[in-house]
Amino acid sequence: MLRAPSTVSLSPDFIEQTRRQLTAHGITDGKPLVTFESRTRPDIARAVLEFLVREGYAVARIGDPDDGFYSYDGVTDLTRLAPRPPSLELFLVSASAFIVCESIDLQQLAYLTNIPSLMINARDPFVAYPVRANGLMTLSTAVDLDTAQAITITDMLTQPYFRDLHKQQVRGRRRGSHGYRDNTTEELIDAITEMRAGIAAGWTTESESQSRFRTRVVEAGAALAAVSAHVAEWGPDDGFIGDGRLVRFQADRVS
Amino acid sequence: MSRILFVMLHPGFIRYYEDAIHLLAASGHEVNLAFEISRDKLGEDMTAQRLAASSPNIHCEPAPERTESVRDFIIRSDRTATRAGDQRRQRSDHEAWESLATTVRLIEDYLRFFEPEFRDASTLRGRVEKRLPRVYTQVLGVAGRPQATRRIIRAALRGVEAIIPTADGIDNFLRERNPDLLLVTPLIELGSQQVDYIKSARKLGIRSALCVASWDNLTSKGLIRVLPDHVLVWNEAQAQEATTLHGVPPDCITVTGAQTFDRWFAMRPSRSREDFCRTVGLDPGRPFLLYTGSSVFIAPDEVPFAERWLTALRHSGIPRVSEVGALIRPHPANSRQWYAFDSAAFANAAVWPPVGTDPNSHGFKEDFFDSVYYSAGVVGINTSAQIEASILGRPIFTIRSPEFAHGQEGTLHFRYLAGDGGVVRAATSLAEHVQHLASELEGDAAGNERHREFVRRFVRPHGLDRPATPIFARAVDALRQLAPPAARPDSLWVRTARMPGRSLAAAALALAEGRPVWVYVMRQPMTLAIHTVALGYRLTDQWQAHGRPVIKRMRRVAWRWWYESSQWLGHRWHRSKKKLLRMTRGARGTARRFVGLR
Repeated sequence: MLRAPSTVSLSPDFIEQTRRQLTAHGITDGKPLVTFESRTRPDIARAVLEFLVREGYAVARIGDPDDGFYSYDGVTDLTRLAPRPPSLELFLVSASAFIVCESIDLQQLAYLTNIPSLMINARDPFVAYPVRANGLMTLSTAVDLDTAQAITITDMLTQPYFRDLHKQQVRGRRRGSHGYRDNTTEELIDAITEMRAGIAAGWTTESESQSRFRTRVVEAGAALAAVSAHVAEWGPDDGFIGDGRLVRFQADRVS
Repeated sequence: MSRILFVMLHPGFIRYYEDAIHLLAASGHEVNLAFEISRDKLGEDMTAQRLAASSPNIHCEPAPERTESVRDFIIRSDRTATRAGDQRRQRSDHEAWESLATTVRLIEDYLRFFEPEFRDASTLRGRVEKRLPRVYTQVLGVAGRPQATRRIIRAALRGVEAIIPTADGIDNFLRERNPDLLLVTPLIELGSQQVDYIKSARKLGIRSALCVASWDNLTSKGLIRVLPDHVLVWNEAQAQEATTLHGVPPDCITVTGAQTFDRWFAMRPSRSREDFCRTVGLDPGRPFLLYTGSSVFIAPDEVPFAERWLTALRHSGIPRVSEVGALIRPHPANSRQWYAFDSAAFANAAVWPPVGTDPNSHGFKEDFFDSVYYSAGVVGINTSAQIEASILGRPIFTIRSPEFAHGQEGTLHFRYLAGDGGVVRAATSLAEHVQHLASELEGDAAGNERHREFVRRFVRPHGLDRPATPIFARAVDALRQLAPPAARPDSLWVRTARMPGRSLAAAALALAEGRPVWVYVMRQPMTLAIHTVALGYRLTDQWQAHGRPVIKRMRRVAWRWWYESSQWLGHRWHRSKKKLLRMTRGARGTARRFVGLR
């Protein structure tokens, strides 16, 4: 059921009303739209937005207004739009060629509307693993705060990592054993390029490293589900974790 | 030789009083330091050993052993700490009283954060809430809001505190040490057990004083629940806090200045600016800003913010801001997170000293001084390093950020820095902060005067040229010379109230488990039901084990008796019958013969 694209139809009145609102903010039908939501460093976000604009996209930025306001040509910053109708994100996502996001809510909205999604700076491979073939994800670089060393993606599929992540995110502990580094500009531009290539080519081929990573995630999920309710909830169901993929440059690093 | 007993929560508090302790020891006082818990997170235990070795008049030792429930409580709030003494668990009457004491004090601390001045301090309130069993927070979350009920509850808690007996171990410890003066710090930790030292001192007639260790102690932690004879504070602001927030009579307060910062007035850089910049990895040709990390309570996740801050600087478009160097100095107790900071991603930026550097290592303080001294300005969320920067007259900046609201507007002490009369220029956004940097980095003479006034008011209230350490030492010496107060043994009503108080203590011990209310409600009926069923089983078992074999044996005996007696009777009957028959036959023959003869 998850694999099959869902059909969501928005009412003509709603489409017209939201379109008018977006036009008032400078988002028109002329260019393909990308919805962008991220808390990453402003310089990285700026470079990615500029890249998208250079590639001919109109960009709508949504998310937390505390992350700063961006004012570039081709980028419409809606973070401080008030009042912001709750359905705005739904319309934006459904009207986008693809989305770039950090929040799981937006990724799931993309599933609902069958829009390609690129999830960036993910910390949890199970939660972020894209369900549909048109989904991509990048993982943050996790740093072991005891050794000051970046851990491998394979290490991010182990019980100690998940125990720590669970303590921080679910139980709200202030200090964990891992810190995180956001994806760099180059990594994000690579990921967006891969996303565009996938949309153009139709997501038909898959590298050996990608299959290997998926197998690793499924195996880790099966092993961890017994000891972690979080993995049992978000991990693979009957061996299915998703048809999406980890970005190529990270998948190739998985041994 | 006079004796001063200084009870500290752990050896980490030495750093606030090290120079004063040396001065007192050099003046001929015997200074005994007792630590309630040992801690080596930042090498504090080593500091104690070093201090004890520095003078024959200074002695360091663990404080008397306390019961396990207290240890559990302390460890809950500081997982790296271990309580001095034996760790074997003993459930006792004394432990129940300890639990009641901790509970009463935590509730008082919890209630204080409902006061109007703490309306923005939800995180501070949450910090107490985490330590209190849920049953209390559920009730107090409602009952603690109206001021009238708060007063009633607080009065009741004071009454309960009065009947909690002093700890025998502490009484004996104070009798053995027999100090002329008892100093205690910090005393205001949430649910603090150090209150027992003040209570014991009152009981034994020993003069006591609280030494307020740091600038946030009276506003962001617990209450002074039992008043010592004296309170030593840094400045008038703290004196005001002690009076209004803790109910300390003004004539019991002595303002000494902040002795912990005295070194900053006398220190000089340990190397040239060029050497310093080369050591830390910054361009010596450009000015640099010092970003001072905050504690884990204020800024648990500070790295992403620092990255945004640096990015804002680099992309400001204002050359003197975008090209300024950035030296990041992690908070010593919150440094690990900086391993995730990638300084290579930013030009002319460095993290220094390296994460994990021992704060007790040689040169650590000098390095910190040099960092501030050579900086063009100091940036931070909310940290005492900003006070140190004010002593050196450096421009100080902060950015009010929603993610740190609990540690800025959510604390009262932040207002001393960023409020009226404060020295920190607070921006509401990174863009505004960049503007502040642009204007201040050019030099602001008015700012220097503001700094001096702040330092005079906050750090050296007796005059900028008058170090606080000798004033503190003289104040301690003066208190020591006062006649000891009259011993105040427990009154009759206290001893009487202690009898019913035992059940209250037992209840506190039970409730300390932190179970849901229904568990406590159901516990007695469930226990009764289980005992009833168990009694049935036990009776059946006893019947099977003892009753049945006895009955069986009796039955067997009875049957045997019946059988044997019936056998015997039958036999006897048979023999009697035979005898009778024989007799009958004999009689018949005799009769026949008799008849035949006739």
